[in-house]
Amino acid sequence: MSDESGTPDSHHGWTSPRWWRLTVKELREILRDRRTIITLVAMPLLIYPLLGVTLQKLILAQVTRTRVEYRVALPSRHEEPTFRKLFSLGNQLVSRREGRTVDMQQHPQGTIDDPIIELMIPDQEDGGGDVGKAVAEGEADIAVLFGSHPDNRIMGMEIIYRSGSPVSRDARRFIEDRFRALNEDFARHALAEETPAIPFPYDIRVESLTPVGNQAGPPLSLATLVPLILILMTVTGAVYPAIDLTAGERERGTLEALVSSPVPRHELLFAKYVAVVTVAVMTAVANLVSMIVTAYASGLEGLLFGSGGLSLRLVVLTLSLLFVFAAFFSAVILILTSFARSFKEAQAYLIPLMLVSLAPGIICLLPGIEFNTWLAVTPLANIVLLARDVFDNRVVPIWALATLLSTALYAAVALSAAARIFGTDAVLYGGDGSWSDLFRRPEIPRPQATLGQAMFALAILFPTFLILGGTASRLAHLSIESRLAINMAITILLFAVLPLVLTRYFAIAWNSGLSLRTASPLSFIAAAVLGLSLWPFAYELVLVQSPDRLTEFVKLFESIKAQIDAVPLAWKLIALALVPAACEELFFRGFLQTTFRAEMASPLAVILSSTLFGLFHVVVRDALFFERFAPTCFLGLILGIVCLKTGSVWPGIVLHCIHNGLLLTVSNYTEQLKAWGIGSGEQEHLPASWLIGAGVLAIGAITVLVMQRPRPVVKAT
Amino acid sequence: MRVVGYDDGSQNGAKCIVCHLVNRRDTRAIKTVQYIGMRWRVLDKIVSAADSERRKWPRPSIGCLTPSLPVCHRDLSKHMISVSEITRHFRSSNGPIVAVDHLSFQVQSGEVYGLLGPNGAGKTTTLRMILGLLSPTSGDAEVDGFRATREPDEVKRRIGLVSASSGLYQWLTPRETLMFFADLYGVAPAAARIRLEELSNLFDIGRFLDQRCATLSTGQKQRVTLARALMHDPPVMLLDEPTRGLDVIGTHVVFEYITKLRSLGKAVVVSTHRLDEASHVCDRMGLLHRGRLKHEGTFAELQQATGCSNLFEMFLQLIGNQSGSTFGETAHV
Repeated sequence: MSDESGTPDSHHGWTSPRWWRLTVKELREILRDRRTIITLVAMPLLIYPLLGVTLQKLILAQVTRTRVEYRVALPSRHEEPTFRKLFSLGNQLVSRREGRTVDMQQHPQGTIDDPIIELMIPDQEDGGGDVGKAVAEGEADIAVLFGSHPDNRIMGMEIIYRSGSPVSRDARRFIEDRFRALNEDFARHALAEETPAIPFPYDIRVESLTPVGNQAGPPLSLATLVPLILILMTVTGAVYPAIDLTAGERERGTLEALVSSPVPRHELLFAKYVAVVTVAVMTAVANLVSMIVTAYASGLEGLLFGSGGLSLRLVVLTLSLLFVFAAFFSAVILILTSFARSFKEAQAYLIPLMLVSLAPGIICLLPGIEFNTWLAVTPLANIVLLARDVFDNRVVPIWALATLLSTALYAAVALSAAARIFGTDAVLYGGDGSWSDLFRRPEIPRPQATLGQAMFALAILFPTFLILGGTASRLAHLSIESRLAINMAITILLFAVLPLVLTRYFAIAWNSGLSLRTASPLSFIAAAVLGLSLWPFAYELVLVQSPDRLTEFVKLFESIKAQIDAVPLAWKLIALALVPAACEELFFRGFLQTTFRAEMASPLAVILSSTLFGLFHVVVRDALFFERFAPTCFLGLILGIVCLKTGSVWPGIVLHCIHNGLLLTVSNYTEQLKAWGIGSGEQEHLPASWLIGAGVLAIGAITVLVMQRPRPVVKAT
Repeated sequence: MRVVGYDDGSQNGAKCIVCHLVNRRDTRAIKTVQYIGMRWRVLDKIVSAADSERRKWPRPSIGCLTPSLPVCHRDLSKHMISVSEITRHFRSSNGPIVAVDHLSFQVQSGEVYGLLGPNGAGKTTTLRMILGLLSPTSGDAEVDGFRATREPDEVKRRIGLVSASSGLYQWLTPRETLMFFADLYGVAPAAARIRLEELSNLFDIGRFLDQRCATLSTGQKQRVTLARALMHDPPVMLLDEPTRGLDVIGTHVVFEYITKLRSLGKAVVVSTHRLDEASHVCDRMGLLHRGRLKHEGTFAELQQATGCSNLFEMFLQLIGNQSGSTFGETAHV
């Protein structure tokens, strides 16, 4: 019955899915409530203008006393005249570009709007001071070095700054702008005079340093506080509806009537969740709009919206981040409020949560705190850091992906936990339930995991994968055998031990839950043929996408290639073919795909599990290689179909193992193959005959598999 | 008609083919039947050709995959509500508490059954177990052939609940509330509008249908609550202390409501401690004390069995005996 599945039920006269109709009711109820309106509209309208005026007065009072000062270190006195001359010229060019005219006779140090440049030069006549050290230790904000260049017409320039220091970054940007203005001016003249193409006179390089020692650091920038304020306001927007729609509804006696209806509890909760997220996002939008208007009205936009200033991109990115955050935090709040039996009890649960949440947010705003693997998977901290980087226009893709993916997974797990609690008899009637019920092992065994349990597994796996993977990549001092052994242990732990432990803990039947049944001999033969014939297509997929990036990827491994070549082939086959094949198949096809199949259509289950398989292969050390997504996703699709048709992970393990093993063997005998005339230079496409041969083999194997009847999934009653 | 039906050759008549296949764990055959089941027109034809004495079942839903079939595993001659040996324990710091202890009773269509007992007798817990909101420690309840522990959604679909502790959505109007509950129970919007009109006349709520519930008086709220339980026209009604906190007029409305439900052929269970009025509206009564059914029957039968002239005396006897000696077995009279 379509009404049960949530699809539009035209048969019954409804034009929208039921979950949406439920959500509309929740929104109608919550948005008519005056208290919601106060949080949503009145608060932002009152608070920001008030804060804006206060801030403006504070800043004006401060500006009269102090001007921004940048400390620039030079290696010796010899550089001083060059620096002064170039800086002065650059400054004039920038001032002209910005429409400001500065009378250098009257204001040799610039106007009140210009920072003071304090030069730090060693006492010795011949220099010798280590300017890099001065910057790293915080004695200077930046250092400028002038040097020679292979082309005599060009002067080399290097600016050294501390990446973790906002002042140092601002100083770097300020000086770099002036030097680049010289190049731009030169180019303008060259174009006007139609001189033949000659290089820019100044080759400007920028180097960032990691801070050394215990530096107090500069004071907190206002722009870094803005994301935290917005996040806190989003939380405020989510709290009231979350309490009202769960604990409040129980207190008013409407919850019993609601759960007495034949609508699954998780669907009722999902409608409430969507309503809470909607109100939270509306609060975020109201706050952002009010903040922008206030900032413009009081002239504080430069101070509040970071170095790049306010732009549509910044607004869209900020709202997207706040949406992700609202989706996560609303789910967490719903766990607590679903458990609470009254409004008061819910408030008592939420106050500690808010305080606990505040801590990582504030800590992450301290100067010098940068993204790392741990912070990227720490809830809330990662969002605050990402928001800060968005404001500072220096987002690192790997950390952004890790933040968004881990937050989405945590949200799914939290929502699944809330659904387990919402409307249970213990909550409805104040019975004998407790928090431990959430973690109680089910008494009745299930044929496969639930979607919530699969999300839980992913929520554990993804951050652990990033943390352990990142740690392993830093063990360069160990022998290659040890590193391979560590990688193997990580793979076994994450992709085999984890699903096995969860299967046991959730009382899932081994055979049906992990697709561990046996398969026909024909399936194994077909899988082996596929394993031998798929690699040319995977290779071509990489080439088609971006050959340049392939070279980059190859370079990444070139440093360890010589070491890997020294490892015996048998050891490589175990570590890089057999173990990954067995473990990854157990998790992605055995655990995940089997779970997805019970919850959705088989093709969708295969696509979803192979997409996740592809995404996990995109992360290589601390970088993202999206070029790996298509080939691994393609391989995942084939492996998914094999598992679907055979109902077993074993043929997939054979396929995966042969595929990996073949590539390793070929790379092990590259020289011999070249001697036989097989193999060619990098980035060259494979001969058409190879592709045709592999294609014929693959089609034959797939035909054999397709002709097999798919094993039906046993669903829980 | 027999394409999907199945007859096991016993005297029990035809069975639901899907339930039979589920029992045999024949998943491939289930998938085939599911596929056929998706073409509801086929089933409609079967229904239209069915024995005219059999009622038309609602469209297939969770649980039995082919309830539209005239040949189904459910035996219609059974009671609409059947509670058998139902027991519920609660944990407490002083050890387990037995809220309901091996309770059994049946209710037929068009019958009003009173669950009577003092506070803490287990009346509300029993109703919640029938509805599938509380899972029994042992035993089970069946509503219209569906077991509350196995197919709670099917059970809920067939029950209308009126509870004294139920509230209304303060920021919605009665019209929005009633339409929302109609939707929850799968009533189509056109049918829900007609039903709303009927109930609006029946309970005289038309005047305030578009006012916010927060602005309604207690009596008006009570009428909306009663109408809400009937929006999906359930065959079974559970009324938990429906007169609690109501004045004389409010109580009168409730008892008129119960009489109306009986005339509509619904199986009704009323839990109350208003003994005087219960004797007037209930066809049969069960006297509950400390989770156990002490006496059961019509008012006259109870008088005969207990030797008391009214329910109040019966209760005094019940509670008084409890402190001294143990009760005998349940007196089914």
